This record gives sequence, C-alpha cells and structure tokens, in this order.
Amino acid sequence: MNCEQVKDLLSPYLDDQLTAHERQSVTNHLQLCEICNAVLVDYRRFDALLARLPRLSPHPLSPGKLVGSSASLLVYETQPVQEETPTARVRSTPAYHVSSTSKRNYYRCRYPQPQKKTVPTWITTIPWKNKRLFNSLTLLGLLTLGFSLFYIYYLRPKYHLRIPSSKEI
Amino acid sequence: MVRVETKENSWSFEQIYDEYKTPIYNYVYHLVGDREQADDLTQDTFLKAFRALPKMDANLKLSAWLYRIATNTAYDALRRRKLIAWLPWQDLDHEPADVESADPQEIYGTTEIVRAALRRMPQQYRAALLLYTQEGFSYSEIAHTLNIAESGVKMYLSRARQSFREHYRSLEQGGGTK
Repeated sequence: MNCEQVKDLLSPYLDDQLTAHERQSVTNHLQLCEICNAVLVDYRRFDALLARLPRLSPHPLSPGKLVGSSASLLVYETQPVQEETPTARVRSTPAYHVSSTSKRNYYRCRYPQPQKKTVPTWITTIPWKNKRLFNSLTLLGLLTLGFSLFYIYYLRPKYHLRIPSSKEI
Repeated sequence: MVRVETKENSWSFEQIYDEYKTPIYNYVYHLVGDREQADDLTQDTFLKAFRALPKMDANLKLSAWLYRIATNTAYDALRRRKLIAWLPWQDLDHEPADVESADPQEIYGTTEIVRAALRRMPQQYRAALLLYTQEGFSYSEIAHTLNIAESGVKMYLSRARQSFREHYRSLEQGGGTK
C-alpha cells in the first residue's frame, strides 16, 4: 500500500472500522512511513481537542427577547397555563397537534384561539369561489342593469312604450 | 408538566428540553458559527420536535432524531444566509472574527483555532465530525442523523479529518487560506 491509498484508510483505522486484512496492511505501512504516522497522530490530537471543546450555554429565554422569535412560539406551545391565570380558558377540544386521548384534556391554552368561521353550506356549495364564473355573473348583472336603465330613461320616453292594459288587449 | 406522547411512549418535553438544549445548541452553534442565530435555531429545533413528536412511532431514537432536525434546521439557515450574503447591509457584528488577520496565534487560543477551523470546513463534513467527536455518536447513528449510508459516514469522517487538519494547520501557522 502506498501513502495515497493509506490516506483514506487512516480515519476508519482510528475508529476501528477496517477489515482485518485492511487493518494489517495499514499497520505495516505505518511502521515504515513517518508522514502517515504524523497524520494519524494529528487525527488523534484533533479528536481529543474537539471532544474537549468547551460547551457554551444557550442564552436564557428572557421575556424581552421572546417577542417575534421562535422561542415565543415554543413557550406558548409547550407551557401549560396556571389555574389562576385570568385569561386561561379550558380547551374543549385538544389542540391540533395533540392527539385526542382523554389524557390530553388538561391542556390549556394561554393565548386566544382564532374562532373558526362557520360558512353556511349553501354558500360553500355555490361556486362563488370560481373566479371566472363570478366575473361572468357580475358582467351579466351589469349588462342587465344597464339595459334596464337604457330602456326606462331612453327607449320608453322616446317611443312612448308602455305596457298595454288588459282592456286594450 | 407537559407530556408529549408518541403512539407507544410518553415523554416529558421539559426533560427532553433540559437534557438536550445545551448539546443541540453547541452543535448548531458550530454549524452556523453565530451564537444568536444558534439560539434561535435551537428553539426552532425544539419547536419542530414538539410538533412532530406525537406522530412518531415507538422505536424512535430520540437523540438521533433531534440532531437530524437540528442539522436540517441549520442547513436551511446556512442556505438562506448564502442567498442573502451579497446584501450590503449584512450584519457583520455577529460574524466570526476575521480569521485572516496577521497572527492568529495572538488572536486565538487553541479553542478558537479549533472553532475557526471547523467554520472553514464543508458543512456536511463538519456535521459528521461534530457528531462523532463531540456527541459520541456511532457510525450508524451518524448515518441515521445525516440520512446517509454507513459507508458514507466512513468517507465523510475521513474527508472531515483531512479537511480539519488542513485548516487547523493553516491557522496554526498563521496562514489565511480560505
């Protein structure tokens, strides 16, 4: 084995992830090659350095920093409301992310829930939401209104049009 | 106490949060290199976990799963940062210190050189190296966390160590190669 081949095997060699044959070949190479030995020593040293890297503590969740951050959502979603909280309202149904097992009924919500708008079915079944159809209907309505006005204020006075009475018929 | 239940298990979310917040925060911090952003991304990670946990099945490996969420959240943030990196009003106050200054030995102790070398590594190798050395994950746990094959982990760690060694040496000797 040459250095180039051993280079990619040094990391799994260090982690004991090589087959017995590969391991033996790398060991043989390391006995002869100072460069690869130095790399292996470095890898051990860097592993130790990384493992000893001091751990930083996350900043505590202060109320001033909560506004607008995802932390506020986390607090809202995970914090059960105290009994004495005046704005607390008991959920009648579990939250959307909570399963409907009876154990979950102690969940309370601190923040006001948006009321679900109940739209009558006769509105939802009529295709108002079809934009093209809605536009066509609007146009038809405007044309009807326009013709009615044209008839009442122009055609009828000009040609003395009127609805015949029953005696004339 | 808020309890979150999967189909078979019951977890106390406070316990999960208390146990994992510091390791997840450190992991995310080393991925993104910014403490404030790491704070926010850690909260994001736990928020996603809290929402998704009830849907998970019984044989969930909680730690690998949390780190997976953290990794994806950090990668998304890094991707967004790359997209807006050209903006002139980028907040440089929170960027890592200028690692190309004349004598890094004077600016950094060993810890800072390690952190600076980590920041210069490709992100996927950095994640694998951190999970292995800092969190003590096995190859299979890293594979599960990073969503790659175990043979891929071997390659990732090998490249990660090579890359880390290269950058660390360069910083130690005072070079500023990027």
